[in-house]
Amino acid sequence: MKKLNIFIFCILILLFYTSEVLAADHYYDNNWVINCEALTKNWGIRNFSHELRTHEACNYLPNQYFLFYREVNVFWYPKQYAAPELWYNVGVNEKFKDVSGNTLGTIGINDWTSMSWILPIGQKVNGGYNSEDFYFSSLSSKYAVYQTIVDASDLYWPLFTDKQITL
Amino acid sequence: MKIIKNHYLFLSLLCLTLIIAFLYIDKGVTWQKELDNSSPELRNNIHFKLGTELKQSVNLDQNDIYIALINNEHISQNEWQYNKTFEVMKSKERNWSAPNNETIFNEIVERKLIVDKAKQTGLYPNKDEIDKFIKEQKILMKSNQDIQSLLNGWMITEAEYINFMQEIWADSIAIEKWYDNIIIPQINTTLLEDLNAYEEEYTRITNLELSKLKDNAKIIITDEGNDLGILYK
Repeated sequence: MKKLNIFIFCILILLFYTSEVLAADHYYDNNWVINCEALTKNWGIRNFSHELRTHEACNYLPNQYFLFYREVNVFWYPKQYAAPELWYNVGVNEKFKDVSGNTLGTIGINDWTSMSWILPIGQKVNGGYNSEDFYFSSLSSKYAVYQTIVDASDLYWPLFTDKQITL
Repeated sequence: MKIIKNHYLFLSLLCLTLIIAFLYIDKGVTWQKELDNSSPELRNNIHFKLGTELKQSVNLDQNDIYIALINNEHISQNEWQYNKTFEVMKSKERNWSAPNNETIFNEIVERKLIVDKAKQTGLYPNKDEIDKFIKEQKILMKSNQDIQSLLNGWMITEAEYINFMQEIWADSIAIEKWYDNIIIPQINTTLLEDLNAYEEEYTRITNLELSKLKDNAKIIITDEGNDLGILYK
């Protein structure tokens, strides 16, 4: 009896995972190079360009709902910021809205990514990996807003850049 | 007795839950504020305000008053006021606690010590390098709203701003070269695979090199510096 229970449990787990994989109906990949410049104390206007990559996949569920999964990576090119005495920080906020602009879901405060580095010269650093599942109705159209935030010790005010995708 | 103990346990758990919930709500509010802080109008206002404060504190007609001498370098009263206004206003706008005079002064002293060393070792930028940097800045300034708001608040022209900033920019280039030539080559390249280890080593070597510069430094606070309440330990 005990062995049968374990067997059934394993089958259920297997079914759960295969259903997730098989039901991945759509995916969207986006890649933005974000060019931004801002006022600093010791360098005048400084370039803080970075790259945002997102991967989003939808799994359709019964009752017109779908499971929405996404991951975010921020790529940061330190060579341009060469002044190594500075600290740098880039974060990502994200929110999902319906066509009327009502927020459907946001990334949790503990999930949004923040990095503070002294970056090795000439190295390409990536970070900001983040993922979360959302349950949304598939009936109404919606869009996602990704916001990157760049900050540095020499920067007077952080840089905010919004990027929008219609789903 | 057991019931009373259970009550205490329940109340403790309840308090803990409320504290955690409060912290989450607080963080949520902070995050929302960050989103609101992204408006271009707010950004312009903030830079305009910085400009108006700089107008009050920096006197561009009087560039020959020095508050401190650092080896062969000097800190002008205008450079001090520029740094202080920038840092204090930045902290105020961001709701951070403002840095004290000592912290701001120490940061400038470290810059001057590196600049002094850079000049001795041929790392200070030549005229062509400085002119190239200024040319790039002129192009960037044309399309940047931050600087336009700052200049409007400060009520000075682009040429006056460049004239004031060019020594600070030249120092920044020298400092960057000092890091590239003195600090980076001392770091074991295998540490590049581990950012935390790299950062630790980077900080250790930087502090070591800075302490060497400080040990041999000759730092004099002038009467004008004393009047402004500047202390150096």
